[in-house]
Amino acid sequence: MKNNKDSRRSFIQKGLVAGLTGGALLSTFGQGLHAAVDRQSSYSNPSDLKITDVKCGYVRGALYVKIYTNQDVWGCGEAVDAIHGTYHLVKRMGNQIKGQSPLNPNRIAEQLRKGAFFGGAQSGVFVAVMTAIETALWDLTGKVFGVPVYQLLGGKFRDKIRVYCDTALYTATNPTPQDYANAAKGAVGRGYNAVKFDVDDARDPNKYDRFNWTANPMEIDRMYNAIAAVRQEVGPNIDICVDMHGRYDAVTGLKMAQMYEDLNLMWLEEPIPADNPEVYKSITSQTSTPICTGENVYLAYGFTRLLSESAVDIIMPDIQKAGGLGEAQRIANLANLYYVPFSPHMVASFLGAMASCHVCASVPNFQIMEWQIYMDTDDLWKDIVTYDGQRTENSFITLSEKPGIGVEINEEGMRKHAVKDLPFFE
Amino acid sequence: MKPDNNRRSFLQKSLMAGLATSALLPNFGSELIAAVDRGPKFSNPSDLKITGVKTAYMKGHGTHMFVKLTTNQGITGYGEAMDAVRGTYGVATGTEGWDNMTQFLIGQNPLDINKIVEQILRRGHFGGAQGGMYVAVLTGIEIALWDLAGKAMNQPVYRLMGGKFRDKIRLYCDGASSSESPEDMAAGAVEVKNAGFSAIKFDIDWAEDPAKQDEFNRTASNGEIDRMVKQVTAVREAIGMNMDLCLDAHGRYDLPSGIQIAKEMEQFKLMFLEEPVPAENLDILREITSQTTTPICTGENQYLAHDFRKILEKKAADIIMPDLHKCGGLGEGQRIANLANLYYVPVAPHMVASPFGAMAACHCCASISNFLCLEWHWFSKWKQWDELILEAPLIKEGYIHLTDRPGVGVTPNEDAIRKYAVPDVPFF
Repeated sequence: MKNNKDSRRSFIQKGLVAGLTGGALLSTFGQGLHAAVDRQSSYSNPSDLKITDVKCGYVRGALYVKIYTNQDVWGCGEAVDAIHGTYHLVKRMGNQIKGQSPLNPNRIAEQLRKGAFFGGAQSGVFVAVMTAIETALWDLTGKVFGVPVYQLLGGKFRDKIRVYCDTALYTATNPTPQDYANAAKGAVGRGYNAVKFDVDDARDPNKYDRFNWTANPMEIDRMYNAIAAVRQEVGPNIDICVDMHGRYDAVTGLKMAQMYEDLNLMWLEEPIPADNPEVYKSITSQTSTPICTGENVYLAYGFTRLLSESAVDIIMPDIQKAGGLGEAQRIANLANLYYVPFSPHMVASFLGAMASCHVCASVPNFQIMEWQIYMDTDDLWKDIVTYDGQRTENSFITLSEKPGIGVEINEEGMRKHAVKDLPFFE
Repeated sequence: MKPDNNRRSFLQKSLMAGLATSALLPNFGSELIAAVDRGPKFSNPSDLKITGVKTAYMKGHGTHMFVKLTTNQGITGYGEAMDAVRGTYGVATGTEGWDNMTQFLIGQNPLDINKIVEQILRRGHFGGAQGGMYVAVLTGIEIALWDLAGKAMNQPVYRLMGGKFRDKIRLYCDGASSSESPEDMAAGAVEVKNAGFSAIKFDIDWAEDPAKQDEFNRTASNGEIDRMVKQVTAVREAIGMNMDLCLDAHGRYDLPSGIQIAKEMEQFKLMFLEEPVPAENLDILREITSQTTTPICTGENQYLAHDFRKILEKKAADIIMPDLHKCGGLGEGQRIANLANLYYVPVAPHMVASPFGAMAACHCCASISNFLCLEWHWFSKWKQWDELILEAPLIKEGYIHLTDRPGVGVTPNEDAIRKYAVPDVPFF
């Protein structure tokens, strides 16, 4: 697909000119859609397109997968976080899908999951790695048919995807309330209308115990004062989210949720770990602070009880972990039946971000997606992908209209940052 | 539109021309690139707009509503809705001067199907959009949008629904009526089996059963149950145990009769017993489901994923059968099936539409993993059925094979439909 634009333009121009001079299409000319339909790819049915290889690279906490075919078109996908040590798993999954047509992503994902029923396909690492492959299949399918991925998901509800800015003000540096306020001011100054802060601090010097998950009064004060400073800085109209990373127990989770009520948060994220929906329900039912969870929940199955028990107010599946673009859409559709908004967690490159955007565009109940401030400031995030347009503008990402996801990985740029001692797209 | 001819001649001429002028020689051989490059550019952003919304009502299996969407680019999308559409002319379109779906659709780009459906549902929040006729009419429009989007992008509908799990759709054939003798029923079953079907369904409710004791009471008498058992015994003996057998009670019985019928039928190892009780009270359906090994099926009178959520959360049924021409459409059907999949519940869509509607349903059935089988209602009953589409008859050996033609892939035959049109209602 190199020189795609050039070859497309020249081909169509020459072809049309030739066609016109030959008088071949004069009778229908002007009916643009007919001509468009006539020009359409005939590779879709029946197709000779086959997967020939699956290669991968690792950069920081992300897995990048590239699916190759016998026809000079490829697809890329990404998974994050639950992907460490998975090189051989990628290779194994790649071998399973070699020789297949890549054009039915839902079917291939189901095949992979069925094939690993006893091999961990219920959640976690297997699902995360499958997510990268599934995403690459959508990218590939969109490219083959010349349509953006959202069109393969039933069309779009919106052209621009709202993002909130995670300020990446890590608590390990023991930031003061003023540091929080300054970080918020910086993000808002960049145009973001929603911000997120971490408040959990495993190394808080006031902690009495490393393993017990109850916050003492000093920790609680620290967590409250940090966000109170943010609210004071940004005023009432900027949305604020707070993330506790699942590091506290039910007592502390409830206490923080109730304390934060006067700060009118968009949500409080993972006040407790991800495993027990009943405890989420208990907290959610006792506070007016919206409770959010989902980045450590996998597949639509993982969300059924959270939703049917009204255990959370907002869900935030990670579209680079939860099972893929199709599964993320199914999760959002499920949440929609409970009037629950869909606000994906997102720590991926711009490839993953845009892949997520296609899903966010395709569902009615999308609320907002995560964005990290370092994606604006750290060149790594620009090096590793190829994308011409502006990435975020005034708290929105404009959905790509290019075939597939619309963002390519830059293997050369990526190589500089690749995890050492692992094969890189070999 | 005759796309095949146009495409072929256009491609040949332009490729030859391109070759002759050496325009593409460096890239030649990279056929896929060229194919992608030739792809339609109307999808994003598109100038395609809906310019007309027309409906036609036909008597067939009850009432069929056909929808025809015309555009500013010469392509047309067809849809079909069923059963809950009688008297709905003014809901989709019409000239009454008050709000209808047409006013909303004119000028819209048809490619964002799920969005348009959601918008129409929200517009109808106080106008009946929770279920019933409003949703059924919307369903006809929704299918027409898929047909249109597929044609605009030259893709079969299943492709726009995330691809297919299977290439051919298994059918069960709805057989004889409940008023027939056991012998006639068995003979009908053999006829269906010989035609290649691997599954069959019979009605077992019979409103005029002489054994009935009361016109309104829903309790089945022993005589009625005896009649059912004799009929099913004859059918099972005729077709053997390996052909799947379904029974439909049309929601005509009460709780005690529902339990009794389900238990009596256990010996026949049914694929499912359909609607032993009416559709409204799911707690009662769950009671029956929990007391019998006969798989219980419901859904043709449920609308939207919300209704099915309740069935599934309550475990009220073992199998669901949304009617894809009533429940909200192909997209909503896919969402319903995906939901059912989370409960390990198979989907066996109810289907009484024309061959056009049948093919539309097949795209949804192909796109879901938990598809079981699709209903087919017109075996040796109404010979005119095949003429309702311009293409050849669909069924081969109990299956409908998907095609890769754009959109739904078959076209309603307006002249044939007109012959059976509901009188005094405007026809397209």
